[in-house]
Amino acid sequence: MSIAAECDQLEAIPLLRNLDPAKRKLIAMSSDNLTYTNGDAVFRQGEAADAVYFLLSGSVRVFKDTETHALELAHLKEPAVIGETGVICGRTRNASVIATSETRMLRIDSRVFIELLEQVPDFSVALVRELAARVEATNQRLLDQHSQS
Amino acid sequence: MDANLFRYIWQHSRREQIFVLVLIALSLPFYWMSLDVPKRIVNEALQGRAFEDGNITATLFAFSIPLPEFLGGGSITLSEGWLFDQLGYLIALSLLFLFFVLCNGAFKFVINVQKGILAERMLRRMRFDLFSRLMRFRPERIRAVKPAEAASMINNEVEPIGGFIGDAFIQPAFLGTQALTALLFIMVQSVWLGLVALSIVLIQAFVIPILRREQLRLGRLRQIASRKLAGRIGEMVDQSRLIYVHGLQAYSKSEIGQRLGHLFNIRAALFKRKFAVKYLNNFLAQITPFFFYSIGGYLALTGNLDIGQLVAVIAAYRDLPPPIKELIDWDQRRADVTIKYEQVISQFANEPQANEFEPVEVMPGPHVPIALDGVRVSDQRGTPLLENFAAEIQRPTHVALVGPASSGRDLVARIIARQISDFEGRARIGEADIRALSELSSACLIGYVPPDPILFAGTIRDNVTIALRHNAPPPGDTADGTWREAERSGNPLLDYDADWHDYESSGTGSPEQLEGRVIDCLAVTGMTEDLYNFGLQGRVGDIVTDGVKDRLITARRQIRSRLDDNEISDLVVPFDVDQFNPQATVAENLVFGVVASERLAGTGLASDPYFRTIIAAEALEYPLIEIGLQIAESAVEVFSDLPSGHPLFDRFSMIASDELDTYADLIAQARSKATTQLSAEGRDTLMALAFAYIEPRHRLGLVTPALKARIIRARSSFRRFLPQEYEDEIEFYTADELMLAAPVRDNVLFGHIAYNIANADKKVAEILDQVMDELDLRQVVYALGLDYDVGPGGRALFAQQRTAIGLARNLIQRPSILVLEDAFKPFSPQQRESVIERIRSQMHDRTLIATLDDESDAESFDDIYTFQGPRGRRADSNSGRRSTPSPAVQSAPALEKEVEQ
Repeated sequence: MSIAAECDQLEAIPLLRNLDPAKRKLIAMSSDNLTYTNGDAVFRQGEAADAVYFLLSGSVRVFKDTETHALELAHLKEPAVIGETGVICGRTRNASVIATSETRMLRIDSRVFIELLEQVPDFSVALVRELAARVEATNQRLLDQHSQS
Repeated sequence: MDANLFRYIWQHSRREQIFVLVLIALSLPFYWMSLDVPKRIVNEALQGRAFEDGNITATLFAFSIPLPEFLGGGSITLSEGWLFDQLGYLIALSLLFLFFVLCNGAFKFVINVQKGILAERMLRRMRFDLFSRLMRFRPERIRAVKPAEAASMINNEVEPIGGFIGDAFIQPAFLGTQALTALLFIMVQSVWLGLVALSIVLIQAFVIPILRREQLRLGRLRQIASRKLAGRIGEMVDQSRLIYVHGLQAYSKSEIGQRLGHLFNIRAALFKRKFAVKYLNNFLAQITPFFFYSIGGYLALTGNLDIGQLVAVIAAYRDLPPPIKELIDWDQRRADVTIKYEQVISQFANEPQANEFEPVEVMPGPHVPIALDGVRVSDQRGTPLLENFAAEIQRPTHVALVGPASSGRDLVARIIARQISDFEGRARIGEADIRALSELSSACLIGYVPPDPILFAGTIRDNVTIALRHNAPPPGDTADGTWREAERSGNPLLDYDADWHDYESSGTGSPEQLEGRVIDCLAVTGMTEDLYNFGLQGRVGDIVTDGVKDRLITARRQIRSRLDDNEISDLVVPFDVDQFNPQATVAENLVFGVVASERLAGTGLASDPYFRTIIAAEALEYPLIEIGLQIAESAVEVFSDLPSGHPLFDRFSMIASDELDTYADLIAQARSKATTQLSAEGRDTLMALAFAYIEPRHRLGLVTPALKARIIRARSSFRRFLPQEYEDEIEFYTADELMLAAPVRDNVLFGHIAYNIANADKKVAEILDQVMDELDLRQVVYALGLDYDVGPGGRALFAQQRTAIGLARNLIQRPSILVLEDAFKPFSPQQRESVIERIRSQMHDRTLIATLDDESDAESFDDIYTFQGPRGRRADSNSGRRSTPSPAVQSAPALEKEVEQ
């Protein structure tokens, strides 16, 4: 797959949708395009958060290991961003991500990702918005649960 | 430095100036004689006054000293002279004139060379004096200096001053006395006519430019050396804290002294050439009268030329305007450089020394406490930055200064690390004021790691071991010309290239042990894996010995075997002469090997005639140029907004930030006309870009199956017809041989890891690491990793790696007190915790003072001070803390092993 096709797919990711096309190309050119087969681990819980992934095609499952079993948190399909909170917070991975089909992802090294955040203000702002939206959604969900109980 | 330029010059070059002035005085009789002899030729030889009264011979070169009357009159004869007929008399006087012309030229040559060398020597001294003053600035002041300005002042602005120094006394003396002599002579003779010898001027116009070519080459060399010197001085200003903390003033001065020496040598050669040209120029100008006297005189004697005409030509040849004009120029330059000198000096003058205390050479023992009492720091407007801080830090201990960034915690750290000297209150180690410690004492006693430590362009090894370069070599022998010249210029007599390492302070005794210690220190700071990876990227040729060679070949076989056993052989695409390797660059595929010479590196291959012939034969030239053009377009589009030197350029790896403009121009040219119309240089540049392309990595979709087939054909032709003289410049991939110019990783894998298969590098690395460990090659790779070039200012590294190196640099020096200012910020929380523990272990019997954002990171410290804004206090919870680190803190060797695992 060429950079041009990757850029088209990146545009489908909400986080990157409003970015200047040249900046999406910068992200693509700063990344590795990787292919995973069914069952390959993208990363595992407890590993260092050393990269952020943009899911271009295929699907992955997100598992949280508990003391007794692996709890599935999500089943993600393209387009999606994976692993960005671990990188931003400098934490280890708090869940495992496993490919469930032949899956292609753009992998961007955490240090390059941080450099991009510093150099591309639009990207930083978009990410902040995305994270804020998630916090708001979580708050809303908690509120709904509270009102139901 | 004296505020008056002329006094400064006279103070430091009195002897040389007097020597040249004496030469000038000695030259005057010869100059007079060169004016006088023509008169005798005309009067005595041509007009025959020496042959009056029918004499057919006359005496020449008879010398006698007349005695005064009171001694009885008469004379003492020194020489009876020789008898000549009229023609012989003429020839003898003409030769005498030629002799004086040569003497005058020789005097000018010697005077000018001496003058030039004197000027360069003084320029070297002046630059060194200014640099020495810069090194003595207080830490606060040196941080306020703009590096480019300082470098410009020391390097560029004093340049014209240096040029003038040689002329300051000599030029007016030389030109003035010559003009006066000529004027006096003319007044005595009362003869002035003018005529220009056109033929000689034409010869000068032809010969002198040829001779000036070397002069121009030297001029360019001088310009490059000057620019490099400016860059290095700028870098040293940036590194001032590093120099200050580690007491590297002597070492740094030695380097600058040596660079100035190199510049001096170029300029001395330049002056010799310049004045040799001038000498020839003068000789050609002066040879004209010789021809006038000899040939013209002969013609006059034989009646073919009128004597009056001849005399008019000779007399008119000399003129007064040139020296007068040069004297006017000199006065203008004097006014100009005097102002420049005063301006430069004012920037470096009136600067207090590093501190106002009498420096003390004390080395407080490891148990002498650090005491801060009533310490206050305010900004320029009087706003307190640190208020009335007091602390008694018992040693050895580990203290955390916790608080938000830019609170008083950073100032306390800087005060103890001697980075701030402008504060109120007392800061002492035992009885010694911290500000009064000598540079050497403080460098040995206190280590300091600032936020984002200063790295200089060079290897990781150099960046770590620089902290140990205190052992100045013995002064150079002034019998040697290089050192004699350094001494005359007031520069240090210390060899910058000698081994300056203080092995004792690092606890080692040899370069080999020191290397091991550097690796250990980097392990403590979490650099082991990076170091290993850098080593795998390093050239095999830099480490190969017979034993290593055999082990690397064995590693290659074992890795391939284990990849096959694990059914993951597709993760490494091997070098196969019959296949296009998609994971390799286009150039690698064309050559099927690695370039081993500098000539063919970079754009060298693209412009090499043989290689281009092969490329053209396979009709690959314009397809490759088009690929290069498309790569350039993508890069310019994407990277043009990034600041110069940004790490993302390295990530892309094909275009450097300073090349973007060049490529933008090439794109504009290529798109406005056909690529065939591009200049040869432009085509080479674009082709070189195509050569570096790897499809799965760069993913621009530029390598088609047809192109691959052509490349395979070109590869075959390239090897088959390779000229013999290229054999040492290309190393072809051969299964049983190492490629010395290729990285360790390529050698042991004998192929490239697939870029596009997830976790391929990790899976391959597992096998690679196993095999390297089994064959005991890991230490060899670490050592090679130490040679990794960090780039200007460490830009080739990430912030965490730069900090790790900065920490290792201080650990290797084993200071009694180590101050870390925000040094853990680039590390992730997990890394931070382990790095802090390992550093605490290394410092278990010494004092560690670290600033931290979060108190949770400080839990294991013996003492904690918390800060809010300018106020700081000792944390209540620390009263029962240990005075020594927890036994849980492991010993350093155990930790290093853990790190490696």
